[in-house]
Amino acid sequence: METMDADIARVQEERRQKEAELAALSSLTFDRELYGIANRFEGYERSIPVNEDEEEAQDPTEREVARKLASYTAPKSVLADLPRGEVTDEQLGFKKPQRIIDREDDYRKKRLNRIISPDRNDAFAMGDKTPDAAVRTYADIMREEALKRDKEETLRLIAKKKEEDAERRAKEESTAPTKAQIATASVAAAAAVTQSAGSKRRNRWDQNVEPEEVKKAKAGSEWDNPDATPGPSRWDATPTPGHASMDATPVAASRRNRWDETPTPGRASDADATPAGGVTPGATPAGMTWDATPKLAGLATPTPKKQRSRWDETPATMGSATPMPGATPSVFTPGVTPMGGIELATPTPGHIALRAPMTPEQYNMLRWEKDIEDRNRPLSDEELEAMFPMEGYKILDPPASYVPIRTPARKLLATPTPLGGTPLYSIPEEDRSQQYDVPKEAAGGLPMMKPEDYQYFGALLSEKEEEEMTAEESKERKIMKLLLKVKNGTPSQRKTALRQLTDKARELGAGPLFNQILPLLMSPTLEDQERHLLVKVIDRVLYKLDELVRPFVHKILVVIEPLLIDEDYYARVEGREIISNLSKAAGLATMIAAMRPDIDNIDEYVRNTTARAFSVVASALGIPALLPFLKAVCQSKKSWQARHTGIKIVQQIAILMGCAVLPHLKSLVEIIEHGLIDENQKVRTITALSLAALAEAAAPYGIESFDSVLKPLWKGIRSHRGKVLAAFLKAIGFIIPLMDAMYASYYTKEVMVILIREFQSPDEEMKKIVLKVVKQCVSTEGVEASYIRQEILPEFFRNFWVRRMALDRRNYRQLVDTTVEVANKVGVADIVGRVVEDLKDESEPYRRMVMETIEKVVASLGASDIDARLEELLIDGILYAFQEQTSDDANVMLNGFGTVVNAMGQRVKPYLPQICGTIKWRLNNKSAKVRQQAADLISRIAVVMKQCHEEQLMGHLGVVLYEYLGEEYPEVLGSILGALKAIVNVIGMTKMTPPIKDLLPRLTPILKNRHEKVQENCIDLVGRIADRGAEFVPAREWMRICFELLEMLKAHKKGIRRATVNTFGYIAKAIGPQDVLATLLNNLKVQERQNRVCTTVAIAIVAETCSPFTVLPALMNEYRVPELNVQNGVLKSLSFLFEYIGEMGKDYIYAVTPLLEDALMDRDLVHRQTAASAVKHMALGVAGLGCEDALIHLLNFVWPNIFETSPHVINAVMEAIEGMRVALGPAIILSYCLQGLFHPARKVREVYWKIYNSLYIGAQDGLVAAYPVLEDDGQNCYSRPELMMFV
Amino acid sequence: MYPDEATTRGVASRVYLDNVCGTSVAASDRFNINSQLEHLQAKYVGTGHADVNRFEWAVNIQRDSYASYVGHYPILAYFAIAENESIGRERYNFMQKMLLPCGKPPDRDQED
Repeated sequence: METMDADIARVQEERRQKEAELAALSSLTFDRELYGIANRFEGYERSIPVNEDEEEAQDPTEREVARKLASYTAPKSVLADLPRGEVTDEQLGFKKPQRIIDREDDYRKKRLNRIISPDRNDAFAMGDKTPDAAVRTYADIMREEALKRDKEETLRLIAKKKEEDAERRAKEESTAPTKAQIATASVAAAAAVTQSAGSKRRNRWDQNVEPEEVKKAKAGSEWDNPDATPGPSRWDATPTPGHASMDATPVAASRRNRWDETPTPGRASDADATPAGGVTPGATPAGMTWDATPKLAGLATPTPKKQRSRWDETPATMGSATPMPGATPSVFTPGVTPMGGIELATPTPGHIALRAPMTPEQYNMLRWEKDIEDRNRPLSDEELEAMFPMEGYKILDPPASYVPIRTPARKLLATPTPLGGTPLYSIPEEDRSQQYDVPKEAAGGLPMMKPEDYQYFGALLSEKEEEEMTAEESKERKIMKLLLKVKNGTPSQRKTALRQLTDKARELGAGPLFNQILPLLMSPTLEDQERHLLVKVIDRVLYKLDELVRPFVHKILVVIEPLLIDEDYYARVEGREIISNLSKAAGLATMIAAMRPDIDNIDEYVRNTTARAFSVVASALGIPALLPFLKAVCQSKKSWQARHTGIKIVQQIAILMGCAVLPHLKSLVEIIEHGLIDENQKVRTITALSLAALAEAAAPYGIESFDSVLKPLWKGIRSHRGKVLAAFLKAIGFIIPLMDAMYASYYTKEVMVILIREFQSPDEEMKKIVLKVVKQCVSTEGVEASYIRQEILPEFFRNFWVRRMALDRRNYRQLVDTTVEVANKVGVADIVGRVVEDLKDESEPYRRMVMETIEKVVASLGASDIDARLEELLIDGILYAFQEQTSDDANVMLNGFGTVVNAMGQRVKPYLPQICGTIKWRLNNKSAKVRQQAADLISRIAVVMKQCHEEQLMGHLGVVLYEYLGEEYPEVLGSILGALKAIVNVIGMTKMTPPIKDLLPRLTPILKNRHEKVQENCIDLVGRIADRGAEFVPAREWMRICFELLEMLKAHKKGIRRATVNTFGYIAKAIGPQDVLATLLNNLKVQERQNRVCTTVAIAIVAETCSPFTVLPALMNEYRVPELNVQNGVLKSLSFLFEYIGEMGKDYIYAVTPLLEDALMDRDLVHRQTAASAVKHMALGVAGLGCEDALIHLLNFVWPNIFETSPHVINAVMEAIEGMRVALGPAIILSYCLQGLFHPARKVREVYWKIYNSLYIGAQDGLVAAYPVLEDDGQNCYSRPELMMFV
Repeated sequence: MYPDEATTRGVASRVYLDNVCGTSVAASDRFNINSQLEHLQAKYVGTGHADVNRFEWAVNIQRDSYASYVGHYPILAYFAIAENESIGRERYNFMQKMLLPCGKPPDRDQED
């Protein structure tokens, strides 16, 4: 036995040594694995692109185009042939709900790294008292920020130093002579570099050498002692990373890293002040890599803490006032979460479903893991004893270095050890409380919860008795319910919930509300719609809470600021609105106090969003209020970040407010001007960009405010290079257009030297800016054409008019704009002459760019400068470019062709046969695209052909087109119809070939086509013929068309419906209203509502075009049909009819009065509603024409309806009364009103006061003469003696 | 709004919150266009509501009247002739009278 023990001891000792070696070797690897060796900012944008505003200005269509350009797709003709089912779905707007996070780029995703900071002190609320030690005051936060900055700086220095060391060492070693050494040295150097990178990460937690650490260790000892009164030390507020490193000091016996540290010792004393949520190490400040991926990875790693990334926190408890009961600063309470009872000890899936954010995959993963764990659980002592013989074995102590694995799922096995019985197999007991993937029914008519909602709304599922809850709890629950309804509910649920949240905001309290809303907004699975709704909730609640929001301002900003840089325009607007309301509610001082610490935050993202938020505050509270603060910030000596952000705020203000900066321009420029000579390059750049933004906003005024910056700017362009130079040039480009002609010319010449030098710059950004500045310089008055021609043009064309420029869309656009601007100065011939040859270039994008430029130049300057030779080249080139085009986007070529041909007018005549030959040939092409382009081209040049007296050619084209009416591709058919329409318009009905009487019957079947483009073009053509050439077609054909048109009333596109209704008018005019009317009246009997509505409109149009007396008798006769739809249709037609005919109505009012009487007394609500709106139109039409007797009669029928409650009816009735007010004068309506204003029944009074109010708003002055005479009583004088005066 | 005593608070607030969330009022006439219309009307001074009393309405009438007199120059001139005052004096008088056109408001309980 003795020897055995010794043996064992020896083996153990050996193992210990090996482990120690291994630990020493692998310590670095471990950390590297955990923290990652790469720079954590890799892949992030470190700064915003120079002209970001341009990027933002991109509208959705442009983005769409860019997207299309970026990817190859099948040709459109193929796509068009696909069944249209899904396409229409998309068109109707049924888009899949999209998660915001899916479309965010890395930079925007940084919003998730921010924490919702704890509440802050409201300096206004407490008056003169000194703040409670537990409350976070402004000073605390500023200290924290300063500390963070210092740390970052120190870390940077350390890293730098290490790198230098490594380099030096590498250099020293490499100087050594032998070859072998050199080889090893290089290896060592590489290793050293990686090591330094790795140790850079490590610094934070466990290196003890830094002086900073020593300092902290001292603080830590005091801090570890719970009895010491810590005061409002900065450690309390948020666990900064430095805080964790404190724990790694020798005070703690075992070697701990931050993972197994208890979150909040020392916090116990002020736990009720700081929300628990901010406390768990999961919520470390922004920028930690380990929480950047809130993924599953956590499950596999050894410590329970690791799993709780900050997303897994239970925000339901955020800020709740319950202090953590058991949170002592003891060394090992791993699972202490604020939830007390529900901790990680036994995470049954049921619990997890409630407490943790679980995606469905995670559910599966967990279930699977639990299963595996069950099978592989460690054997208990009893089991082992049963298995092994009792003798010959010795139970050893576990080695000292042994640490049990603490996976939560493994730990869970600690609980259900089977007591007695056979341990080998037991029938698993069914756990009814477990829920795997079927979500629990939400009680009480609540909407469905998504899996990710359990994290926030899980509490609603637990059936706790209402009576057991405290007031706070029940309030919380109420808010939760309402929020869930807003987030996931049906529209009506949402509306009521929103309304309740708004109405009761003050009673529910700012704290409980925001503590639930804000974490929801930070949820990584949020969708656009949900975010919109939640933001709306905040907006409404803000109004109500007013000054109560003060402690929460920063929290709100943290979640709202990201909206300001969202790619969605409406999100940006929403964000601005909220921040603006917030600043009005909280006041300037609070806003500044909340945002000041973020201004020199170490994270660029935070500073960027803060600057934008500040600009919104400025626009809400006025620039002057913010000026002193801005001045102070921009002159900050402490950090360049503060200056940078301050200047950026000015830039954002300029972008946001536009010309509203003008009154403060001088002071704004003065505030930032010193930034041009700042020592930091970034500050210089942003200053120049801000000046550019200010000048852009102020244009064309305010040059005198920029006087002081001209010199540094122009000096700057000589001394700077690269990005800074680009920014300076941009500023100059925006300032020059503000100048007088003389100065502009002088300064342009100064800057042009640099610009021409930079023409050659390979930097894309620089290219764009240079182009823009050239455009701005050239467009000012003082710059002469000869100067441009000699100095700029040769270099300009040599450097910019190259194929490569056509490939990038933004370059393309900028180049075209600049060239057009240059052309405005130097004339068409110069520019077109230089580029015309390129129309035959082999690169299609380049040809397109040339074409677009020519089009724009010719469109603005005409073609008179183009001489015969150039004209020939131009037409030749255009024809070539037109024929060679292959891309989908044909508009540029078409427009270019059309513009040039139209500008040249009669000079095109010699080329027309050639053009028409091309068109005819292409109309016959195999490719649908080509045919369509050819037809489109006809509609563009038809006018010019007429000018050139080429009627015969046009007639010929008409016949050709007529022959192609059998076209099967709807897009092409639409274009062919369009071309026919253009020809008909130009040469008239009589000269048209084929003759109209042949053409129209051919069009009738095409009306049946359901394709929108076909429908639109066809109905336009038919309408045109009905308008101008109806006599060429027999009446029977027109009737046939009438029947087809009825179908078209159902079209989705409004333009088609309108054209159809108009066509009815033309046809009725051509063949008399009777037949058309009969068709239309029959159509009133159909079931479809939209169809009936369109029919009534058509009837009214027919009445308008053919005089009402032709239509009214038939219409009124139709009212006798005892059918609801028909009668309503008639009433609606009457309503439209009186709307259209206006004062013509005075001749018919007596005729229709009996009918309206009847309708206004009908039992059916819709009758009365429609009749009331007819009365309204009638009254408005005949106002002042002497029909008061009939109107008063009708008013007597309308008046009893004022007590209707159905919204449409009451609306119509109120409008009818308004109409009567106009026609009869307010006095009469007032006399109707007086009987009910002081009626004993409140319901009656309410209605009458409503009528009185609208009467009062409509005719306040007119009522003065009609008010009743009131008797004086006692001390009050109610009479109006002035009205009794008589001369 | 609801009692603050610690004992009754829990129950009271719950009852209260239930009322908050109850949909007892018909949702239809809460959100229709008319409610917006009334909101709009309420923005104008001089409009009334079901609980306006005689005094408040009379004050509005008087003020409207004076505003109208001042606003129409011919009427002002007419009054000036009738009272043998200058037009400016008349205008000034009317403006002054707009301050408390009907005297002090009557006591609340007297009115009710």
